[in-house]
Amino acid sequence: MREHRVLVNNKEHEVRLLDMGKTPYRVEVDDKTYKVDFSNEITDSTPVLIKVNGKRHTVEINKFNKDAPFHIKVNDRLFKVQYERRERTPSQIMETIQPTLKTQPVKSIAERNTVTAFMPGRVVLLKVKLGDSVKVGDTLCVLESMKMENEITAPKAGVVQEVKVSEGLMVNKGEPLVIIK
Amino acid sequence: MFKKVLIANRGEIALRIIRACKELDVKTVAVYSEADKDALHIEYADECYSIGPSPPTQSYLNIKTIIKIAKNTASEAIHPGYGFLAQIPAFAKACQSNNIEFIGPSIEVLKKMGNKVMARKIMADAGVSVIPGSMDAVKDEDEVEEVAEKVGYPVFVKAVFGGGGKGMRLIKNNKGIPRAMELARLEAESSFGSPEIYVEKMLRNPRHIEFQVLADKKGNIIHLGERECSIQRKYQKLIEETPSPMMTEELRNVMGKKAIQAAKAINYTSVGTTEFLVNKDSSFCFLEMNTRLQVEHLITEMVTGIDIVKEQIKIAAGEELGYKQDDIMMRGHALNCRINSEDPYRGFVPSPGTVTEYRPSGGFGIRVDSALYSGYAIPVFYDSLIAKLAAWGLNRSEALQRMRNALNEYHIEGVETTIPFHKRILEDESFKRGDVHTRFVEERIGSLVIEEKYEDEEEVAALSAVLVKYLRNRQTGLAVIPQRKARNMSKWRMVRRHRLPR
Repeated sequence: MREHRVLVNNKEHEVRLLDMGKTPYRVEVDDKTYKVDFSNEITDSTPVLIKVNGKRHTVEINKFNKDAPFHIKVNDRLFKVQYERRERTPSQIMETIQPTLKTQPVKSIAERNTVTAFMPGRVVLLKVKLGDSVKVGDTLCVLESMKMENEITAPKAGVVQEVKVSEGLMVNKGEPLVIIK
Repeated sequence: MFKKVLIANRGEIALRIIRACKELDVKTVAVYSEADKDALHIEYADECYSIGPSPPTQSYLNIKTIIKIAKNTASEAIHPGYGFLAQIPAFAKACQSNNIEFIGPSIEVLKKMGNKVMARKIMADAGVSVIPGSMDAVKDEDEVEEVAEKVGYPVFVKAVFGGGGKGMRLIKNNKGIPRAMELARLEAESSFGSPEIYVEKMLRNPRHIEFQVLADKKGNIIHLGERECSIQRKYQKLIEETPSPMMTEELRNVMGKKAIQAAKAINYTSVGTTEFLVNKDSSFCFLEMNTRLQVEHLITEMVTGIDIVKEQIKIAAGEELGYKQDDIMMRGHALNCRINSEDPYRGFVPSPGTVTEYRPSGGFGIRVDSALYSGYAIPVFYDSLIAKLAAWGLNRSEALQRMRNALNEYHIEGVETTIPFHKRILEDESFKRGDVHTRFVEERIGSLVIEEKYEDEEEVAALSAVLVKYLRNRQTGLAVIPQRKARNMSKWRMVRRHRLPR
């Protein structure tokens, strides 16, 4: 398997070349697979029509550089691109990929029991207290952000083991709210 | 003209008003909450004063503090912008009792139009047709059922003191009445402080078309044409354009006259908007009157060339309108995209936070009204509208193409925005034809799914980068070592190869 890490506008992407036998190539970006086809070989400063899962994009590569940032223009949008230089062994690759996989998040038991805030906001209503039994979908609390109220519901059934917040409190994204066991 | 005006608002609209004041040579006073201590409106105003903690109730809605600052700074008038105190009669009253001019309509008008049932009655009496429904607040389920049977399902229950789509619930048949009433009352109570509700028939896929009205204190009143605001999500406007793709000169005259008739019925002064729902057969009903400067006023400015905010301040200062209806010309086409800090890929959840990189769109015909800058932290306390991106063109297709380019150019890093959602709408065939109605977004666009984000250019850039590197390596590799099949190699050769130092 060919693993590549590339920074696009300083955001890291994991690209794997799955099947490079003939076009359309099969390429995986992060955890999505794409079929990639293009009109002619990608070279410097010539726009290339590239088909990604059937959708056409114009790609222009500016001063390709293996070791320093360079620019790629996709549909008139300019991106700063840089290859990650670090060479890694397959086991290292596995370690670094797993947490970023969106489809199979690796969570500890503690993490699975903790309900966190999916957005920053203020706790305007707390509906559960210590020892309450909850069913899947029960409202635990209501978060308000930018004048919008959003209910936080129980992802699993259980008993409320700990309430980490109180009404009126500001929470950040990802902050623990309630622990259900 | 006033010497000094206090702006009781924040964000892009505060900047908009400050700019208008500067053009009129009026000094400006900004007020700000704790969360807004790094906000741009403080920088642009001549003076600025802190008005308290971040939650709106303790700052931008704090009438006492704002009036005190206005008096201390010798501000002769207060511009409330939109939202916050813009339509609160008690605030206009407080201004009046302190001899400060409230830049907006009279207290009476705010009261009459703030009560949606009263507004319906006034309009019906004035000969402006209203949406079929109850002419008074409804008391119980039986009354709702009675009205619904009369006008026909589906119907809405709406908050009497509501507006803008809040405190509103759909009823499809009589079974849905209790639940819808309960929810509407709860929302009405928490949002507007009154649980009163009334019933209105749901029209079948109407267009939302509104007319901008200008009325001075001398009795002159004109309209500046319409705005098509049918592109909405959950009754919140997303895209507005003018002229409406369905509008004809005849219909504009008829509707414009009705809009003026509605404003005259309540002795309207200042800038305001009469909102209508328009059926497929071009029949139309009064929806509500917005007694304030509206978010989307900028597109009307782009086609008429009239600075609505300056006019509003001049009217408040007692000046007579400088235009007659015949002077008003609409030239070209303009549209506005409301850019919100919400994640369109995750059900539009709010996405406040720090803008790490900011590059606004530009060029001929593009207008960006925003208070963003690189490094600015969007607070969680206020509305998610972070920018208004407007495009003007000689005709609709030019305006649409400019908007597409502008959406591609607009670069806001660090927070999620609704820009991808706007791009999607602008690609829709019905939208391109101008064939829209208030349920267009729900029916044709829905929501963006997270997978679609990966079709974005960023992913293409990533895979292109890897492909170019790989293909180059392969080419150079081919040049150096001729490709051989493993079969052709003896085992002996293989061993030697492995031992070769790299």
